[in-house]
Order: sequence, then C-alpha cells, then structure tokens
Amino acid sequence: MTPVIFLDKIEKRYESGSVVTEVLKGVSFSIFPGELVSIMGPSGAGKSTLLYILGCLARPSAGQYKLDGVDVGKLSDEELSRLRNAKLGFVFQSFHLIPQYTALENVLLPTVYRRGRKQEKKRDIEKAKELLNLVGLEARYHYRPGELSGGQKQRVAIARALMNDPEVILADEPTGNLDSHQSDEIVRLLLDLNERGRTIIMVTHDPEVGRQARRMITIRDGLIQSDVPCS
Amino acid sequence: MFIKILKVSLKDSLKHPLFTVLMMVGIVVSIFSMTTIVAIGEGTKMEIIQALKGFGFGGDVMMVAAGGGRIFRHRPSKVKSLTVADAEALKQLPFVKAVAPRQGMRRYVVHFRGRSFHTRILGVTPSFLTVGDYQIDMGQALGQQDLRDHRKVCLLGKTVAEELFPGNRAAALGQFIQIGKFFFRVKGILAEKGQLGRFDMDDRILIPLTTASTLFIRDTYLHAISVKLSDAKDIAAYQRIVRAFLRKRHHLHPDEPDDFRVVTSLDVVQIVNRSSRELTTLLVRIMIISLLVSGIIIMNVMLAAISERKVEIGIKRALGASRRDILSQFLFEAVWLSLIGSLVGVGIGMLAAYFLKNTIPVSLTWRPLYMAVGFGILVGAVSGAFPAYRAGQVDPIRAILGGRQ
Repeated sequence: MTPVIFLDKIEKRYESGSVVTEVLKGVSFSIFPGELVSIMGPSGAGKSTLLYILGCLARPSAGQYKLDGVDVGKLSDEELSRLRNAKLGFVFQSFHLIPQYTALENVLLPTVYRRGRKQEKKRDIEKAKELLNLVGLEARYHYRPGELSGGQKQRVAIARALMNDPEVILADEPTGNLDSHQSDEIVRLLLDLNERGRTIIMVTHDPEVGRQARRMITIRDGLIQSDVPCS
Repeated sequence: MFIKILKVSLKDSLKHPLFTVLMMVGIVVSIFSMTTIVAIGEGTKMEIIQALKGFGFGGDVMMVAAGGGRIFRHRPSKVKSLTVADAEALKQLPFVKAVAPRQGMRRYVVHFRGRSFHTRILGVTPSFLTVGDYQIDMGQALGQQDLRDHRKVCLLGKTVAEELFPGNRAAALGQFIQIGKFFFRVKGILAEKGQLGRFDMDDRILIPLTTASTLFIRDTYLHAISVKLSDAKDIAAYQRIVRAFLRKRHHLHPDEPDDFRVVTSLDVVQIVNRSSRELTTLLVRIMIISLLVSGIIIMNVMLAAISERKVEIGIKRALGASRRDILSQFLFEAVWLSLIGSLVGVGIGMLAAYFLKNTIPVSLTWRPLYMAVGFGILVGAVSGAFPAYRAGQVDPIRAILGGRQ
C-alpha cells in the first residue's frame, strides 16, 4: 500500500533578519490511508508548523513531501491550492467559520474553489446537508456561527472539511477551544469518521485527546521523539 | 471558476455592507456631479443654439456688423463704415432674399404715466421683422410710410409692454410713450421671443430706422445688417462672397483689415462649440481629480477591509483558494462596487438634472451613462489592483493562527 503522506527529512527554518529559527530539523514518517494519527508535543515543538506543511500552506525548507504520491515541493501556488482543495480537509482550533455565512454556506465554501469538475450546485447542497446531518446539525442549516455553540461550530467545520471528499483531514487542536463535554463529542465524531475509513491527522497537546488516536507521534525540539501505536 | 469567484465576490461584499457603502461613496458623488455638470453643459449649449435661431441666426441668416475684429462684442461698434446703401447693394446678390439694416442697441429710459423702464432701442426697417423672425402679437407692424415720414411710432417687446402697462398689454396700443425726450405712439406689440441665455429678447423697442437716425443716433451709419439668404446650402461660400463684395464697396486696400464682420450661424455654432469644448476640458480635469479621490477612497477602504478580513482570506486559502483566486475576488469586488457606485451616481445625477429642468437648462443624454460605466470599471480596476494584490499575498498560516503564533 502506498502511503497517503510521505515525509522525508523535512526541515523548516524561519529567518527574521539575522536570526534563524529552526523549527523542524529533519522529520520523516509515512501515514497510510485509514490511519488516525495524533501529533503531540509541548508548545513550540513545531507540531503546528508540521501540520501546515502537511496542509500545503507552508513549504518545507528542505526535505521531500509526497501527498498521495505527488511531490509537493515542485508545485506552483495554483497547483498547491488545487491539491489542498481536492485532497485535504482542515479543522482549526478556533473553528474559523466565516461569521457572515450560514452553516450550510460555510460547508459549501470548498466547492467554490473546486476545479475541473462540473458545477453541480444542487448536488453540492444536498451533500452539504447530508454532511451537516452526519455531524448532528440537521436543524441548524441556516444558523450563523454566532448562533451556534463551540461544539456545534466545530461540527460545521468538520462537515466543511469533508465536503470535497479529501484524502486526509488535518485537525489543529480541534478540541482546544472546547469544554470537556464538547471536546469528547468532537473526538467521538473524529473517531467515528475514522471508523468509516477517513484518514485523520490531529495535532493536540492534550494527552487525553491524543491517546484516543491509533498512533501517536511525539515531536520535541523539531524532531520526532516517539512514534508509537496507541492501545 | 471565473463565474464562481465573481459570485463569491458579490456575496461577500453584500455581507460587509459598511465597507461596501464606504467604498461606493466617493464614486457615487463624483459620477453624480459629473452627470449633473454634463447635463447642464449640454443643456446650456442647446439653449444657446436654440436661442440664436430665435435671435435671427437660423441657418439662412447672416449678419453684417460694423467694425472688424472679434465676431461678438459687448457694445455696438462706433465704426461708421456700414451704410443703408450697403444694405441696398447687398440685395443685388443673387442669394440674398432680404436685408434688414438696423441702428443702435443702446439703452434709453422710457416713460409712461409715472412708470419708467430702461430698455434697448433699435432703429429698423419693416424687413427686420421677417428677417429676424419677429411676430406681431397685437396692433400693426412698421410700414414703409413710417420709415419714409420718419414717424415717431414704435413696437414694444413683451417685457417692455408688461413693465409700462402692467396687467394689460393691450392698453398700450395707441398710447404715447416717452423715449428720451420724444413721444412715440405704440403701434404694435411683438410676440414673445424668450431668453438668449440671460439676455431678454423681449426687452426692446423697435422704431423706424429713419426716426432713429434723425432723433437718436444723428447719423445714418448702420450698426448691422441682417441678411436673409435664399437657402442655407453653402453658407461659407456666401460669407466669402459678401465679404469680397463689401470690401470692394468700401474700397479697402488688400493690406487693410475688414471694417465689418460677416457673421453666420456657422460662426455662432463654432463659438458655442468652442466654449463648450472649454467647458468639457475643465470638466475632464475636475473629473480626473474627483475620480482620483474616489479611487483613493476605494483603495483605502479596501485595504482596511482586507486587514479586517484576513482570517477569512486565510480560511479560503486553506480550503483551496489560490493567490489568484483571492486577488480576483477582491479585484472583482472593487470593479463591480465602483461600477454600481457610478451607476447610482448617474441615476442620482439624472434625477437631479430632471428636477433642475425647470430652473436651469439641462439636457439628458446617454453620454454620462457610457462615461460612468467606463470610469466605474476603470477606477475600480486601477484602485482595486493594489489592495487585491495585497489580499493575495496574505499569509494563510499567520491569518489562521491569528495571535496564537
């Protein structure tokens, strides 16, 4: 089986003036379809940077990254954007729904930037509704983010991440802004999605959440400290 | 893709009404003022041309005025070059249908039973009425008898009649009014001619030319001769012929300048056009400045909007928007807002012009609409370019993480 994500000696440096900060110092791993991986580590360890490299929003300073067999390093902004749109779904700590859009409009947003496929608005709307049903928001299609609780917002965000049937869902501290009850619900939802075959990578510093994954990669000082399966 | 981004741009700007309105304000105002100015400018021009026709400057009339130099002067010339004999001689030209010599455009105080009024006195021949397209409202026109006998009779313009005989112009007929030191019998009242710009065409009294020569001017030299042509086909050629004809009659040496002017409707139109061109040049300058200001407003409001909407940009980038998608969205936004703004401006401007119609001359044409569409797109595209580029350059990670990292 080919890995959906293949990282080889990924490095990331930030330069500001003469100060060079090395955030990642050579990270290598592969993730296969259907995995649920948590990336753990203390703040500043470089886990978010790693996630955004995985998400094709940042480019590594060195090393090779193949997403679904495609070498990302050689792609233009346009191609990277297309790749993000088609293969990746994002879930953020602060939900990042567009406040002026309804839940349904937020879920539909990835279809705006979808290339190549014919515009099928009706089918997209049907699908967005199904996804909102799936995350338990069947009665909230036309609510705006301001009218939803934190847990509900994160469900909308998850539905949005699923909209274009991505290969991988990337979640950056998905429970970071939620109370323990809502946090449990979101984790359960992610586990459920993984059961249905979704590949999920989630960054967290909450060990409770991290342990729920099938595999746990711990980053410290820009290097992988451990990469172990969870029970 | 193009359509989708355009739709998103429309949708998003409607969801940020404050920015949308702020962006449009400048262009609305500047296109509004442009529309009104163009309407007034065109209206004035049309009115001048219209009025000049009423003044006796239809296509088939030319005027020979005493004294050389500029075509239009404020005061009648004191040059004593034009005579009744010139007028009579002009009649021999094959294309001349009628001539109307006249004297004096000078103001006198006229009295009637304690009422007085300051007005222009013109010494004319009976043909003046036909050449100048005057109608008699009441009473009779001037006749050859009046001219031959130097009679002290007069025709009143409507304004004069109303001033001296308020409420009942008809009462003027047969009455004696005092012009300067002399009493004149009112023989007729002229039909209304209206305004030539701010110049009241009804503020005048016509008296026989011969009477004017003996009583007022004390000389027989003419101030002008209106010439009615048989047709308006080749005015420029007729003008040349008349000029050559009069130069010969006046025995002018080739080096000497003309001591008269031959003015045709073409010259008038040319002058009106020239002044309207000047107006247009001025207008264009004002437009450029005001569009520049609207452009700056759009640019600044957009830059503010973009920094406000950074997170939104970051989210869209994460969800698959490329830099170009973001740039296009904001560029579209600038263009269509500017376009809508200028259309709104034209709308208000046309409405304003429509309501001004009764106070000042306006002309509603399609021209401002075309200009507005053009300028709207141009200003939007130019002023939106930089902010849109900036929006495309927003770092998605920084936007998404906000203050977190």
